[in-house]
Order: sequence, then structure tokens, then C-alpha cells
Amino acid sequence: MGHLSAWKFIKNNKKQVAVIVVALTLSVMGMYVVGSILASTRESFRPLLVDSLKYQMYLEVSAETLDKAVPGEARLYRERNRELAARLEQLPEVKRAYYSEWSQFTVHALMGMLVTEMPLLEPEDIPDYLAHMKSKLVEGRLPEKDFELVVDSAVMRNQGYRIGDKPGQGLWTIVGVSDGPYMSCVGTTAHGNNSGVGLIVLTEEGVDSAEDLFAKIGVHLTSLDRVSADARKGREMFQTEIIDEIDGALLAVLISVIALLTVSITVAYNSYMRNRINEYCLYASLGFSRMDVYRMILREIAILFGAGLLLGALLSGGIIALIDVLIMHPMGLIPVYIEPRLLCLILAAMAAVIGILQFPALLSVHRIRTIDMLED
Amino acid sequence: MFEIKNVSMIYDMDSDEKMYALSDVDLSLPDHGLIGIIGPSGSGKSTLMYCLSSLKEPTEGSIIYNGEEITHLTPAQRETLRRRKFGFIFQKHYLVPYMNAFDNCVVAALPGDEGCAQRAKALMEQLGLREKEFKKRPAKLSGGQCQRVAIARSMINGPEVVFADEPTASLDHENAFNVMRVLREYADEHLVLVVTHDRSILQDADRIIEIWDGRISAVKETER
Repeated sequence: MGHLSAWKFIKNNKKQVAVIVVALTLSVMGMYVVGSILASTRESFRPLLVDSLKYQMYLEVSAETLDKAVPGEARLYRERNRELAARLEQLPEVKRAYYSEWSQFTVHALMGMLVTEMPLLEPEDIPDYLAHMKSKLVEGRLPEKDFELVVDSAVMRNQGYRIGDKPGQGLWTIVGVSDGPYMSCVGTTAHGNNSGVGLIVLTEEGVDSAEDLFAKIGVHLTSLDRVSADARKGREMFQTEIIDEIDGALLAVLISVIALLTVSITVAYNSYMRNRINEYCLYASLGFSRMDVYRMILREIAILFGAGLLLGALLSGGIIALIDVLIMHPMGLIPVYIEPRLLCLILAAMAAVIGILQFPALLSVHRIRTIDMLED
Repeated sequence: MFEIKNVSMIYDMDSDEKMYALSDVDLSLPDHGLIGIIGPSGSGKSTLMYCLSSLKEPTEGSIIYNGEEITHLTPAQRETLRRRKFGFIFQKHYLVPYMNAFDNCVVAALPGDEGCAQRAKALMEQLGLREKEFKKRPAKLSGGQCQRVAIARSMINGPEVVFADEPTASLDHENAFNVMRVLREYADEHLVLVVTHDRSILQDADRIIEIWDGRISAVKETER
């Protein structure tokens, strides 16, 4: 008692309040679920583009660089690459370096897809590769002959593969399933059916780029050398192709939802406040100040937005859990339930909507007269 | 309690034909008693009430309340005065449509007033409202019941002065009599100013002030 209660309006105007709370809840849910799906795309691609490339790199060294690094044109290109690989293996940060083929495999997220490298090695090198990538064979067997693959369990789920399937237009056969943190896949040679042939270097964590690594053995890579993947390139690609794209999409979604929400909430709330002008005038006549009325309006708005945010968060959690169980887990994707940056963005967006609502609120307060003026 | 000196209220100040709602009103009011202000429509009786209650600022003159000049108070001082010292009954009940009768009554209560709920119930009962009607919203109450809730609201803080503008206009004879009885009782210790054009409700008034064309045409003290 004694101050103008916001609860009275909320408690006694359930339909009007429900309209606003439902609009807020759906907006929060829409923004958070879309943001979470985008964040899941980011987190699902991170092991492939950032984490796994901390431990491996793929590059094709040009003839010009080979000439300088390993003189002797008469020898085969392959031999000179192997010699270069042997020199790289002298470095403490290099565990293994192969001259070999590599191919690519695809991972689909709920929004977007990623194609990434997979080494094609000799069967005897595959256990070393899997161990280096902290991956273990969990089902089937390791490749023993050409055209065979071991595929990470998450990629298996993502692509709907089973052991015995023949991906790549029937070229390869999946013979085993591995499980590891970087969704690593590995196969045996495809005899020219590859996306690259060159050096595959397995490194310790901390090697930033092929350029830096080669400089340590006195080989300076130029623009003629084609680095297909290394830590720096993966990181840059993750930033430009994933994070920047996702940020752009997220911003577009947020702006659209907030614009729609702002218009609808402002129109609805403005209408409610117009209908309550006599009530505000009564308060002024009884001795409440305009500031008292304004504070009551602010408290009402705060309660409505608080309820909308809370319900939106709960509903978002439920829907994300549902998407996780029904879609993400079967696709081997990483769900994102809590995304602090997204939460901050949504809170900021809500604060902006509350800020915009101050215009009709202040206008209503400005319209307040005492009842004698209404009766004149 | 009130000393009113040369109070005039002019509408359309900027126009050539100034309209005097009140003209040179001089009046002195006691600190308790039932005072009736009577006059035809447009005579200025409501304007006088609004000036006394600080809702309107007179164009000229001075109003002294309990020894304090209240003519030119700041808006915040006026609000405090209205909130703490005055109670209002308007021509229309102006109840908040979404609140029940009880909430409408206590909406005017002062901060920290723990006893207002009991007082509200007692006031509403005294005014002839039954307990089952306390929880009803204005739309579910008759015009008379709404007006009685508004009257209870005006007294919730035990104000020194109750300003009542046509308080029985929407009531039947029996309820009008009941309301005037409550106001009469309240007036034994407080000042109650009743603006009306219905002389019959003022039979228990201590004084009747007649207004005509913005001027006080007669002041009649009554024997009780």
C-alpha cells in the first residue's frame, strides 16, 4: 500500500498482459533458438577448422620451392618431397611428415556445411595418425587395403553412414569407426582420386603455420606453394567463413525480430496507456506525482519484460533440448545451450525496446491532467 | 482552517471577453463541519472547490490553509497537500476499472499505512457495501455502489478536509441519505465541503454557501 502497484494492472489484465508476454517470450525464444543453432554450427565446425589443424597441415610445395630446397631436378618430384618430409621430421615439433594424397569429407550443420581435409595414408601409418589425433577405433577395423576409410563417429552420424557404406560415388568403403575430439577421418590411397597430393605434416600444438615451420628448415614458402590447411589458415577461415557469416546472419535475425517486436509492443502498450489515461489523471488528482505514475509504468514494463525473458529462456532451453535430441545428436553436432554473447545481445536488444517504450510512456505521463480538467 | 481572500478565477485570460468563474470571493471556513456549496450549473461552485483543494490555481487572490498560503505552491507541494490532508469525491466516481472495490479504496492509502485494509472494509461497510461486493470490479457494481467506493476512498487516510463534488448525484434517495449521514459523522471532527445543486441533501449542513455567477450570494449558518 502507499505506492502505485504495478501488480494490480498485471494481475487484473491477464489478456492484455498475456499478449505482451507472449510476444516477448516468442521473440526471445526465436532469437535465442536461432542464435543457438548458429552457435552450434560454429561449435560443430570448430574442431574441424581450428582444433584439428593445431596438429596437422596439408600443403603442395611448388617445383620452384623444391628446386631451391632440394636441388637435383633429375630426381622424381615424389622423392624430393619425401626428402623434404624427412628434413621436417628432424624438427622437435614435427611428429611425422608424409608425402601422400588427401581427400575431403563433408560435415553438415543445421545451417551450412563444411568440407575439410582427410589424409590418405599407407595402412601402416594410420594407427599413428589416429593416435596423434587422439582418436580411437571403436568399431570395425582399420583400413588394410586401398580405397578404405575409417570415419569419426560424429561424421558417421552426421552423414548417416554405416560400416560397409561406399561414399565418394562408391569409390571408398567405410571399414571402421573412430572416436576422437577432432572428428578425424583417414583413409588409404585412392590412386589419383584425391583433392590434393603433397606434404601432410603432423605437428605438436603451437605450430602456427606451414610458412613458420618450413622456415625452420631454411625453406621459404612463396605464393606458388599451395597451403591447403594449417593452423593459421584454419583459424582465419573459421573467422571469416564461420564466425563473421554467423554474426551477420545473427545480426539480421536480431534486427528483424527486434524491429517487429518494437513496433508490436509499442503499438500494444501505447494503446493500453491511452486507455488508462483517466486512471493516471485520478492518481494525479489524489496527490500522486507524475513521477509516481511513471515509476508504476516502468515497474509494469520491467515485470512484463522480466516475465517474457524468463519464459523465453525456459522455452528456448526446452526447444534447444528437443532439437539436440531429435536433430543435433543424430547429426553428430555440438549443441549450444548457453551462449553468453547471445544472451548479452538479447538483453541489449530488450533494453533498447524498453528504451523505445519510454517515448509512449513519457507521452502518457505528459498527458496527465487532474480530474478537474477532465470535468471542465 | 481556510481563509479565502479576493479569489478570482478567470478563464480565457488572453481573450478580450474574460470569463470569470469566480470573482472576488472572500470566505472563511472552520476546521470542522459540513459546509454545503450550492448554486446552479456554471455558477462556479466546482471551481471554488478545485481552488480550495489545490487542483486549480486561482488567477487572483489568496487561499490560506491552516495558516499557510497554498495559492502558489509548487506542483510537488500541491501533490503532498492533496495526498496527506485532502480527500476527494468527484462528480463521476473515477474508479480504476480493472481493480476491485477494495483495491480501489486502498489505492489512495499513504505509504506504510498497515491499517488501511481494515479501515477500508469498515468504511465500505459503513457506506452500505456488503463484503461480497468488495471483490467486485466497478463494471459489476451499480453506479451508486461505485460512488460509495469512491467516498470510502476519499476517507481512507482520514483527511482533514473532504471535498465532495455532487457526491449523491448517482445515488437513490436511501443511499444518498446514508452517504450524507456518513459525511455528517465525519464532519463532526473534520471539514467536509459538499458541492451540490440539490438543497435537500444539505439539511444537516452547518453552513450553506450560495454561489451565483462566480460570486457568493449568501452564507447561511444553520442551527443543529
